[in-house]
Amino acid sequence: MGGVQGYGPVPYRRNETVQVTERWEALSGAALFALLRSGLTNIDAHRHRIERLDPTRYLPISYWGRWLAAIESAVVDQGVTDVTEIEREIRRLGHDPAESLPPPRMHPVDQLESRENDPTFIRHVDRPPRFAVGDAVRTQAYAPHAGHHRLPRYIRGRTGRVERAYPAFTLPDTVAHGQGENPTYVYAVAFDATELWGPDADPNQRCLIDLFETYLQPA
Amino acid sequence: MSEHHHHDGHDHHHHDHDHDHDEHGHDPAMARAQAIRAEALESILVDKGVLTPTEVDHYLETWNHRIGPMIGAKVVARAWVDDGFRQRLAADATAAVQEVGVNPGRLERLEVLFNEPGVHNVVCCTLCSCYPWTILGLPPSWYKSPEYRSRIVREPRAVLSEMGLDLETDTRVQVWDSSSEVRYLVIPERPAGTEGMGEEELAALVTRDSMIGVERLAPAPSGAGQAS
Repeated sequence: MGGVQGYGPVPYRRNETVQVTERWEALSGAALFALLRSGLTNIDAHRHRIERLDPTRYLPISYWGRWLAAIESAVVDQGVTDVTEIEREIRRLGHDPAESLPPPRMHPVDQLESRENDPTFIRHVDRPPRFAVGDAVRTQAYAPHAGHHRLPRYIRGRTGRVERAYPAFTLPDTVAHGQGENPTYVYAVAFDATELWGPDADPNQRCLIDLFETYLQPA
Repeated sequence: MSEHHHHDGHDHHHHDHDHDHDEHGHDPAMARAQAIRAEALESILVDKGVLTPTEVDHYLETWNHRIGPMIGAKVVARAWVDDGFRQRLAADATAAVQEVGVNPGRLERLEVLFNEPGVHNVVCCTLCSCYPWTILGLPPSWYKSPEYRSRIVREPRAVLSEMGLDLETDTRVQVWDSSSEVRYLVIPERPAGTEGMGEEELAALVTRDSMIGVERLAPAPSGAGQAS
C-alpha cells in the first residue's frame, strides 16, 4: 500500500493495549502456526493468499479475518477439508450456514506451495553476495512476475544505495509456488524521498526497504 | 516482568486504555459470521490432528500475557546503560538480545535502529503488517491500518506530526519498510532526567510506540531516579 493516495489520518491511540479478545481471532493465528509447523503451508503462500483475496473482501474483513480466509483456503487447497465439510460442521455445531461468512473468494493461482515446507528462512549459500554496503543499485521497473513477490510498486525502477547487507533468505517468489527455496541475498536499500516522490519531496527524508538480490541491478 | 510490569510500565495514560479494535473490522454481524466459520474450522482441524485441542488457548495466553513491549523494553534499557551491549546489538542483535533473556523465537534476524539527535527512524510494513512479535507482542491496530501503511513512506513528517511527534526540519527521517523476514526494533533516545536510574526503572519508561519510532520518550519528572 506504500504511497497509495486517498487515505486520511492514522487511527492512532497512543500506546493502546493490544489484546486478542475474540476466540476466532486467536484461532486464525493458532491455525496459521499449526499449518506452518506441519508444513502444510508457508508464510509466503499465506501472504500470497491474502494478496489474492477479492479486493472488495480484503478491507472489510480486517487483519485477522484475512488470516482466517487464507487458512481456510490453505486447508482446502491441501485437501485437509472442503467447503461441504465446513458447512456440515457449522450445522452440527448448531449454527445456520447462512449466518456464517461465505467461503473466501480468491484469484486463482497456477502453482500452490508444496506440502513440505520448512518454516525457517536463513540459508547458507556458497556464492558471494553480488552487492556490498555502499553500492548503488537500481530496482527492476516492473513486477518480477505474476505470482507472489516482495517488490512494492513505489520503489520499482528507482535508484538507491545498499545500507545493510544480510544473509541469504529463502525466496518468497518461488517458495509461495512450490518452486523451491532458491536462497537469495537480501539488502536494506536506502532511497532518497526525492527519488521516490519527485523533486518537491523532503530532501531530509529517506526510505529503507529490504530487497532480494534478484530485484536489483548495478546502477 | 509480565502483566504486572506491563501495567506499571506502559499504561500511564488512562485515556489510552482502549483495547485493539481491528481496523474497519468491528461490525458485530461480520464478527459473528467470522466466529461461526472459525468455530467449525477449529473443530475440523482438531479432529484431523492439525491443531491440538489446547492450541488456541495457548496462543490466547501467550499473546495476551506472555509477550509484549516489556520484552523490547529490557533490550532498550540495557542499551542505554551498557555501551558494550549497544555495540553487540548493532553487530548482531539476534544474538545480543539473548543476553537480557529474550528468546527471539521464530525471528531469525533482528536489526536495531538507534534514534539519536538529528536522525529519527520509524518502522512500517507497506506490503502486509510485518512486525517483531517476539520482541514487542502483537502489532497495534493503527500499525496494520491502510492509512499508516500507505502514508508513512510518502509523508512521514506529516503522519508523525498528526500522531503527536513533531520532528525538527533538520532531523533526518528514515522510514524502514519491513519487506523481508528481517525485523526492526527502534532504540529510542534515552530521556533526559533519567541519569540516576537503574535498568529496571528505565525499562518501565520505554513505550511500545517509541520502539516502533512513532513516539519520543518524554523527559522524566525532576527528582525521578534520585531516590533509588
